Amino acid sequence: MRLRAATKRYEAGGAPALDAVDLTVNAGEAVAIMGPSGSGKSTLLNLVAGLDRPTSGHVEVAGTVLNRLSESALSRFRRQHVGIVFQFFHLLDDLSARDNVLLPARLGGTPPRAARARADELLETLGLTTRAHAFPQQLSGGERQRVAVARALINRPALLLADEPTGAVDTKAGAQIIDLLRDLNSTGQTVVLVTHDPEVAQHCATRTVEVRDGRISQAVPA
Amino acid sequence: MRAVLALAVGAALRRRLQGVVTATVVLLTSATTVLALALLLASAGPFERAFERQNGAHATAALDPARATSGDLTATGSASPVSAAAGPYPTAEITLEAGGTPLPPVMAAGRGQANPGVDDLAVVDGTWLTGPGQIVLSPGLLSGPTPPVVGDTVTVDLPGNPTLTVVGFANSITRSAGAWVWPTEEFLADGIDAATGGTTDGGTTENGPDDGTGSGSETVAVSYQMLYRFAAFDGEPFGGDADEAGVEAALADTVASLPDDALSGSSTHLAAQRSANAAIGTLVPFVVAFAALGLAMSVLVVANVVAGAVVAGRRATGIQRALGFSPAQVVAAVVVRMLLVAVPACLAGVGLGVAAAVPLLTATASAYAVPGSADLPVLAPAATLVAVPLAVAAAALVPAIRAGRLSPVRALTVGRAPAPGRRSRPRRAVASLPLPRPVALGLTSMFARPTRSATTLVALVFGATTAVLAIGLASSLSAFVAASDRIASSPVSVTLESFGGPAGPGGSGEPEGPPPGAETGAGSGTEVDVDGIIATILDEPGTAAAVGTSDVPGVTLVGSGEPLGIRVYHGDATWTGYPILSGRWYDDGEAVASSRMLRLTGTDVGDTVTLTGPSGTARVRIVGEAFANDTGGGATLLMSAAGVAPLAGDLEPRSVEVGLDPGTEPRAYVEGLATALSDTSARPAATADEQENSTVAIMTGLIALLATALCVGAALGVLNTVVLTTREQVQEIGVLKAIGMTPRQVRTMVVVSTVLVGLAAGLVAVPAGTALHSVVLPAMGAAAQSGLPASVLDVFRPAELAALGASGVVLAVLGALLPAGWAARTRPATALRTE
Repeated sequence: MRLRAATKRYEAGGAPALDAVDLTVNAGEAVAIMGPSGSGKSTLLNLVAGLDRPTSGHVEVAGTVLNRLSESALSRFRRQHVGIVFQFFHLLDDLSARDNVLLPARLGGTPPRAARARADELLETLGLTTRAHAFPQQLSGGERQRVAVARALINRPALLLADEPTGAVDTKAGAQIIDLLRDLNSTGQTVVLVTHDPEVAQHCATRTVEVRDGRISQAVPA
Repeated sequence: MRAVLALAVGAALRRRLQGVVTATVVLLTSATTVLALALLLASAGPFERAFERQNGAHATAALDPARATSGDLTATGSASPVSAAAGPYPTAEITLEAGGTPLPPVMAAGRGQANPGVDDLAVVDGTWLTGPGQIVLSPGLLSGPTPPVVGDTVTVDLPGNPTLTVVGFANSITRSAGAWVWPTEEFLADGIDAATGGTTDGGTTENGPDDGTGSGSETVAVSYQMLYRFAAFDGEPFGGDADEAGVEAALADTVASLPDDALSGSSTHLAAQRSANAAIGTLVPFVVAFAALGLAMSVLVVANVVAGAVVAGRRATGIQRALGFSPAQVVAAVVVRMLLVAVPACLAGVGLGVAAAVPLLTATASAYAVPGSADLPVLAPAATLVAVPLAVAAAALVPAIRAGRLSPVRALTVGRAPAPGRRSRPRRAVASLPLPRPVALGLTSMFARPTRSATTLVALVFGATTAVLAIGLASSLSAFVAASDRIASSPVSVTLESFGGPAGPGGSGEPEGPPPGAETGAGSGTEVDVDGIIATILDEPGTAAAVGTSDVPGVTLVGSGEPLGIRVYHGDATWTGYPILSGRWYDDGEAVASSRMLRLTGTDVGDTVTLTGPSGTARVRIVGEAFANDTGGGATLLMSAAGVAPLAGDLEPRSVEVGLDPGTEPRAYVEGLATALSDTSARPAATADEQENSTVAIMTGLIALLATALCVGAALGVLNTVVLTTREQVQEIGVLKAIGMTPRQVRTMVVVSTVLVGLAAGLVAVPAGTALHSVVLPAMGAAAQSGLPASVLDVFRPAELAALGASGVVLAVLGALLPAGWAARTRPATALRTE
């Protein structure tokens, strides 16, 4: 993942939310992006995920330059190369845990049998087999976040992005999520996570990047 | 209060999309309401209102100039029953030619004033007469291939072919005449001279002395016309003691001073009302049905939009409550916010409705053929200006009160999305269906807000029902015209010219005619070789059958005051295509009755009736009921020439109806036949050429306009629902995009979210629309005192119904396309950030 002079302004002539950021994350790394509220860390995550476009500069992920892609191509890119875990899970209430996990695979047209096998494998890995047919309202916060992680991994993405993954769960569930992300990274999964919690960064990341006022102020090994 | 106002203004300005949708719906609703109310009001007694406005005559009398002078007639205006009188006007039945084409025969009255205080004329185009050489026509003459327009010159079919310039078009409410010329017009003066021997009438007509300059060797038969209003009926012309006998008695008293048999004929305003309402009656049920649908849907759409907007603002309500607003202040802020948007939109909508109502009412007035009913009733915009904002406030009040009572915490946490635990089994069942995910997810949205879905369903049902009804009515109208004109069976008629105007199918379209009993004008009596003409017709390639016809006016049914017309066929007419509603076709001495005749006279198929005609009386058995609408829509009997002989003596055909071989093109056939008949005075014409049915064209236009307005309303209801739902689900859409849903898949999901509702609406609308059609059509027939043939009633075919079932889906998809595009274009980061 490579950003070159990536700048994002939400209003023309306004202060940049992200100001000429250069950042490279290599395959297999686990990078924590830290910073106070409004520093630009979520904006950085959005650019990397292809959820938003830079006002100027260059964003490249898994060999694809995102600036040049149409909205449809960006959708396909995210489906194939990026998995996202949100702070508030954002599971679909009408779908069971298993169907939530299957959703990106079904959107991408993965053959049903293969998709189901992959989902069951992930649910088993994350300790959710017995909760596969439960609906989000019936799951605990930790379980929901694990379902969200499984959903992010269903299409075997090159890059796993996590936005405050422990921000909406209790301490015990948070610890489980931290262990899970670390385990995933140890299997070679590239992880970029946004957090304001130094403990999370310390346990999950191999490198920490600090963003302040839209600029990278510090990049140190965790 | 200031805080409430500031809150309301701020919310109205901030929620721009919602404001635009609400304003658009209120605007269209207001416009539709004005239209619907205007139509309803215009349909309430248009004849009666126009009669009052134009000081219609209670009695129109035809008087013989040989028996009474114009001075005698003027004196009758002072008779005790009379409150106002106009005339005497010399009248004559004449045939005009415009651009070489003969127009239907018309009663022309010599009249100098348009508004003499009785039977004031409504000049609808051009100007009134200013002197001799001019003519004002009734718009009824506008039909036909080359209708005259203001400025044209028309020729009177009389010796010397006098020419007149058309200066205007005007309507008489009781149809006292079909054309008006200056009172001293030469052909009228000649006719008076001929009738009086040039000496009898020493008086003056209304506008000046009779100059007595007539010198033509052949003159037109002229009578005098007097128009009376009677004091006894001035207050309640159509209720109370107003009946036919009372008017006739008043007329008898009025003309008692004149010599016996001076009164050669008369008609009453009640007969004119019956005749007008028979035509209007066919339109009223359909206009009322559409207007009622429009009003119902207007209320529904406004309630749906406003309630949805209030519910969507519950989170803001929670914040307001947390800040210290009381429930009453919250309710006030919501209602004021909705009114801030609704009142200007309502004003604009009323303006739009008024602008649209004027041409619509003009079209309706033309369809009703009642002058002056195009005026927009003030009540329509006034009531709309009050009712629509009230409806908006009422629609906002209930959800606002619920929102106001909600605890601040609950409003803040659940205001944006359905509450936890509301996931229904059907929703989960649909979500787990093995469908493409965008489709399955779209279908589940229907169950997210069941009340909103139900309201949308009802709005769509109204819209789709309207579509079904509109298509059914349009098909029925086409079938009505085909059955009326008998185009399929008798597509060509040949007028035998020496007998005057055209007759037969397509020939009797001109409604104006002489009052009952008046002289029927100048049958010149020229011999026509009818047998030779029919033989020529039968020899023409493409001819399948031909039969001569004639009409016998002035026949009465003993025991009934209803005037009858008899259409006589001089040969086998079983092929002429009258739809038989009951019974069978006649043999000699029998008759087939029009529906209207049976209803007006209270007779039934199988009855034997006694008829009195010009030559005597006859007992005739009615053996069938026919849809005989081309005979002027009046009380008509169809009989053979032999059967009618005791009543009218030996008759000669006045026209010939022609049936064609299959595949023969009527216009080409007519061209060939015209050549074959060129050395005779017979004139062939294709029925469809002559029967430009303007009423049907207007009705079809009305159907299209009203159906479009209602369908747009339904689609707007869907648009509003989808906008609200999409905005509520914006974060969910953002998540779906984040995990890889493409814009196309988003669009599909949003559009599909309305499809089930649309499908359900279609399934309800098809039986509802066909049921409404089956109620409205017979009501139209009953109002016109006529049965309707099966071809008019049974217009829906299974394939059509299946296609119409999809109309709900089409409306739903049309309404969803715009917000679906918006959802598809929204960037996921923006959607995820949206609160």
